[in-house]
Amino acid sequence: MAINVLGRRYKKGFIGLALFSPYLILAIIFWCIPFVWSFVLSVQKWNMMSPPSFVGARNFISIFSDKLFYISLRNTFQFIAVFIPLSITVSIAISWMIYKIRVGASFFLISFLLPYVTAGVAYAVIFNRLFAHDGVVNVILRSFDISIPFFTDPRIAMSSIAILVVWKIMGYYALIFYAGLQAIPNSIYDAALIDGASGTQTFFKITIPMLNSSFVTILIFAVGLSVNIFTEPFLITEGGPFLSTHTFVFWTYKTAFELFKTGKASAIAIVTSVISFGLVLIVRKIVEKEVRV
Amino acid sequence: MIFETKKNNLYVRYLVISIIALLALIWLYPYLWVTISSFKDETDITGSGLFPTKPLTVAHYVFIFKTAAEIGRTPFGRAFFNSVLISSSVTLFVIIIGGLAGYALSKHRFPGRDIFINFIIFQMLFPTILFLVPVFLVIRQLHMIDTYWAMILPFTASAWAVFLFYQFFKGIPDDLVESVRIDGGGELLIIFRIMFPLSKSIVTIIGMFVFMQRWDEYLWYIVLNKKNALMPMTTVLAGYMKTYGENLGAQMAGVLLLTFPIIILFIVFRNSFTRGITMSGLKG
Repeated sequence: MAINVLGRRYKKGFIGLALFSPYLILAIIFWCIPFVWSFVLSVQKWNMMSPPSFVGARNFISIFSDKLFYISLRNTFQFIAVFIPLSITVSIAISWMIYKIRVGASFFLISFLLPYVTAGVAYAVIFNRLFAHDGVVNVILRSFDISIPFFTDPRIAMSSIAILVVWKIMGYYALIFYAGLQAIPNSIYDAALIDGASGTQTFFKITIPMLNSSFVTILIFAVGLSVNIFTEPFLITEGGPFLSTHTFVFWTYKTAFELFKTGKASAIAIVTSVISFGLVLIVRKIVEKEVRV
Repeated sequence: MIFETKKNNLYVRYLVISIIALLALIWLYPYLWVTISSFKDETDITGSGLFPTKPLTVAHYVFIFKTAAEIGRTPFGRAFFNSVLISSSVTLFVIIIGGLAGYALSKHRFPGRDIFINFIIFQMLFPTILFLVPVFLVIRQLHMIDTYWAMILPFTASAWAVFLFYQFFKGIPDDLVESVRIDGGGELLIIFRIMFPLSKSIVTIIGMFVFMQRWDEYLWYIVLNKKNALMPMTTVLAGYMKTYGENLGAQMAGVLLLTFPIIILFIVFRNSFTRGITMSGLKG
C-alpha cells in the first residue's frame, strides 16, 4: 500500500511536470536563453558575422558618452511631461463624468476604448494626415489664426506624439479609474455629506485618495509605455526632426538592425530597462499609500 | 452640492452629458474620417472636409488588392491572411500551452513547482525591448528568419497567460478534479472537458488580448521577417506609408482593413475585454 501511494505520488509529480514542460521548453528557448544572451552580448562587440570579441564595459561607456543617450533621455522626459499629466487628467475627468451621469456608461466607455484596440501603425497613418499642415486640426485652428506644425517643429514633435498616444490609451485608463470609482463605498460619500463637505472637497479629499491603487497601476503602465515608445516616432517622424523624437527603443532598433552593433544595442536595451525600473520604483515610492476603508 | 436646487442639478447633468458626448465624437471622428476617405477620390482626401465633393470610388481597394501585386508589393488579401494566420496561431498556442501549465501549477505538486511560480512572476517584470536583439539571434540560430514560425513561436510562451490560468484554476475545487480522476478520466480530459469549459471567461480574456496584441504588432515583425509574401498587414501598411506617401487613398483603405476586424471582435467580446482591463486595475 505504502509503495502504491509513493508510486502514485511519483506518477502524479511526473504528469505535472509533463504538462508544464511545453511552456517550460518554449520559455527556455525564447525567454531564458535570450535573457542571459542579452547580458553576454552587452559586454561583447559583435556584428553578427565575424566572431564576437569581449570588450568589458566599453559598450556601456560608449552609451554614456554618446549624445544620442542624452537626446533620447530628454525626448522621453518631454514625452512623459506631456503624456502623464494629460492622460491622467483627461481619463479621470471622463471616468468621473461617466460615473456621475450613470446613463450610457458602457457606450461611452466602449467608444473611448476603440483607439486602444487600434494598431499603432493604423493610427500613425491617420494622425499623420489629420495633424498635417492642411489636415483638419490645423484647418480648425486656422479659424483662430493659429497654425501648429505638429510633426515638423522639433520643439513640439515629441509632445504631438504624446497627444496621439493620449488619444489611444485614454479609454484604458478611464476604465481603470471607472472601476476604481465604482469600488468606493457609498457610505463614505454619505458620511461626507452629513459632515457638510462640499462637492469639490469630497472629490479631492475622498475620491482622489480612494483611487490610489488605480493611480499607482496607471502610473506604472504609463511609465513603461513612455520609456518603450517606438511605432509612432518610427513611422510618423522617423526620429526627427533633428532627432527630436529619437527614443530608446528606436535607438536599440537602429543600432542592432541598421548598424549591426548587437553588443551596444543590448547594452542600450539593458540601460532602458534599468531606467524603466527606476522610474517605476520612484512612482511607487511617491504615490503608493495604504488606503483604509 | 447639497445646497443646489434640483433644477440646477438637472442643468449640470445635461451639460456633463453634452461634454462627454462631444468628447466621444472627437474620439470617434478619426474612424469616420478614415472610412469616408477610403472611398473618396484621391484629390478629395487632402481637403479637410469630411464629406466628399467628388463621386465615391472603390479604386483604392482595387489598388491594394490587385494593382499592388502587379507592381511587386504584397497585396492586402495575402497580408490579411498572414495576419489572421499568425494572430490566431499564437492565440491558440498561448491558450493551450498556458492552460496546461496553469493547470499543472494549480492542481499538481511536482518538483520545482514553487520555483516555477516565482519564475513566471519574475518573467513579467522585464520589458520587451530587452529581448528584441537576442530573440532575433535565437530565431536566426534556428534558421527561422523569414518564416511564419519566426512570427509565431517567440510569443507562444506567455507568462501572463500562465499566471492568469493558474490564478483562475486555483478557484476550481480540487474535489471536482479528484472525482474525475477516480472515475478514470485522464489529465487531458480534465483540462479540456472541465477546466476550460468552467473558465470560459478567462479563456476569452486571454484569447482576446493575445489576438489583439499580435494583430497590432509591428516592431517584432519588421525584425523577424523581411519576406514580402509573409508580411502581416501592419508591416505592409507601414510600407505603403513610407513609399507611397502620396497615395493616401490606398493608405486609408489599408487602415480600414487593419482596424475594422479587430474593432468588430472587440465589440463582440467587449465585456471580457473590459473585465480584463479592470482586473489589472483593481489589484494594483
